[in-house]
Amino acid sequence: MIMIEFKNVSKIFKLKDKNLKAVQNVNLKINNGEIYGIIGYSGAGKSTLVRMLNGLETPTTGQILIGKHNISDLSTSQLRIQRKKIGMIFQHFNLLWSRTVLKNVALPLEIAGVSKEKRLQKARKLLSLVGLENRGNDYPSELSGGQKQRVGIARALANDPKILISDEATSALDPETTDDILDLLTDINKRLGITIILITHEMHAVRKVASKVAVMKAGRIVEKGSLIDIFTHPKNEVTKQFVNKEANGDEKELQSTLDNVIHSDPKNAIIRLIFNGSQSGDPVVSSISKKYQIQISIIQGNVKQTRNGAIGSLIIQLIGNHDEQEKVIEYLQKLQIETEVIYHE
Amino acid sequence: MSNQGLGSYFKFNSVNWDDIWNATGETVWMTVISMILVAIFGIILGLILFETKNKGGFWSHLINIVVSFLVNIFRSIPFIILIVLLLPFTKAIVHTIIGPEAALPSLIISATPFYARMIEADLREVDSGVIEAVRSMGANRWDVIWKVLLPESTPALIADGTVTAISLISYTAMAGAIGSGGLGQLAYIEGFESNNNTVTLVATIIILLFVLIIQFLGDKWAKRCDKRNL
Ligand SMILES: Nc1ncnc2c1ncn2[C@@H]1O[C@H](COP(=O)(O)OP(=O)(O)O)[C@@H](O)[C@H]1O
Ligand SMILES: [Mg+2]
Repeated sequence: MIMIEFKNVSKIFKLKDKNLKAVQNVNLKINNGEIYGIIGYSGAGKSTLVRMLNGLETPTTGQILIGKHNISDLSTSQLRIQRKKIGMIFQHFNLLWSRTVLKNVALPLEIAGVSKEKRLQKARKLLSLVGLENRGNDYPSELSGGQKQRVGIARALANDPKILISDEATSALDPETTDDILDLLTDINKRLGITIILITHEMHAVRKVASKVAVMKAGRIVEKGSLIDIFTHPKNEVTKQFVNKEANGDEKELQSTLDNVIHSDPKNAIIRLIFNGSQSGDPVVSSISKKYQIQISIIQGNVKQTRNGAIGSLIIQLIGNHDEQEKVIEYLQKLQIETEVIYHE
Repeated sequence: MSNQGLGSYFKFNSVNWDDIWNATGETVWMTVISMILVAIFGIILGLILFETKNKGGFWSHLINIVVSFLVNIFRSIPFIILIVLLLPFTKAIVHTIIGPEAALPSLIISATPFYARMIEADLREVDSGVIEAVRSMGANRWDVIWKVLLPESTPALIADGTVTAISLISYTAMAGAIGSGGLGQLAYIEGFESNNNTVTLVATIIILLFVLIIQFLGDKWAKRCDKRNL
């Protein structure tokens, strides 16, 4: 069932000297209960896109449907009611330093007019859901970044929302804490069935939790689809950058390794293969050396888990004569394995 | 001007202590009452200035221009001139132009714009991300004012309120020159016109003590409210 639909949505900011097209002709359908990743570099228009979802910005053209409601048809007071059904978490947590943790979590209920006793009771329950039952009387400044984001999540869930928007919620956290928070989001999605929109500039976050992903660049969605598809067959240049960065880990280190290999052995090609869990890497590699006069040297290989199976990445050197190398590359492309030629004489 | 040796500062038997305590009481009264009203009006004006700035819409814009203009005008008029300028207005609302009550309108009108501008700047310091977060929960304008803007700027409001209260003390002293009562008038009439330097010194010390106490309490209170670095 479709929960959210963007229909040809554009947002133009009128600045003094020019019109800034922050979002352009976006079409997107997000299903009920799904975790949908939206990835893009800073300034791509991700935040603007989701801010239109809860009416903090209005689209210049196009329509946004949540369930059956068209957001732009709602009156100001209806819009405020609609906003209560969408929870939001942020990169910098945006907690009120002047309130205790418990009262921060209770704030959305206070705004909704829930009685003090009820809202504090609910807030306590939510704090234990995020594992902070003992910290209710502390102030946010007494918590670590990860704990602050847990409070943010508890607060976002206070009104029992149907949708949770995470706008770069892990971007200010260290890698370990990032994974904790991503696990918590996955858990919440499973337990409460909430639709989650995960905005990020890190493929890592999308890879860990999302089942679908849209890639944004300069206000447009340049590519979208299932996570595995995007990972194993990225088409757009930006998508490839994100995928490669995630698949290879430290780029600088890899680059210097590759430079060394190419320098000492400039005749042999280097290629990168990306394959999903159902196609394992090994049979492909061994079939190459059986079929062709080629020996294979593995430069780097790894496997990453996603919610819908594993994704493998393999960087190999093809050792053999030039024609044989070409044949192998053709063969791999025929197998529909994502193949990128990193170096070829 | 006879009687001006340094020894003239220390003739404590020439001081009428009843007059001193009376004047002290008047200074405290003027400062406290005017500060309460300045705080109320200052916060209201500060919020109006903040809420109408760059919000789009004809009425917001108009209100901002009018309030800004008045605030700038009254903030620029030297206090001693403002008192004189406001004499007819003072007479009309408190029915007298001497005594502590008569000082109130000028004190309030001159300190409120000063405080309102500082409050506007304090509100601007409130994290816009937090305001956005609270709006995304479905908050209306009043929720944002009561639950975010004021609580999250409290330490700054208190610190600037302290500065304002201290200015008010010096204004009350100036108002003494045209008959408001209080320590300023005592220093002027008894100390200057009757050549009693000891009275001037005593009045100075009491005012200094007030300033120090207000600064101390203000700092403490602001720090107590500030939960940002625990
Ligand atoms: N309120 C605004 N007024 C003017 N320009 C804006 C506004 N909000 C965002 N922008 C611009 O729109 C573009 C997209 O911004 P944003 O949606 O924040 O990108 P992202 O979240 O992907 O980093 C940027 O160029 C940004 O400067
Ligand atoms: Mg953003």
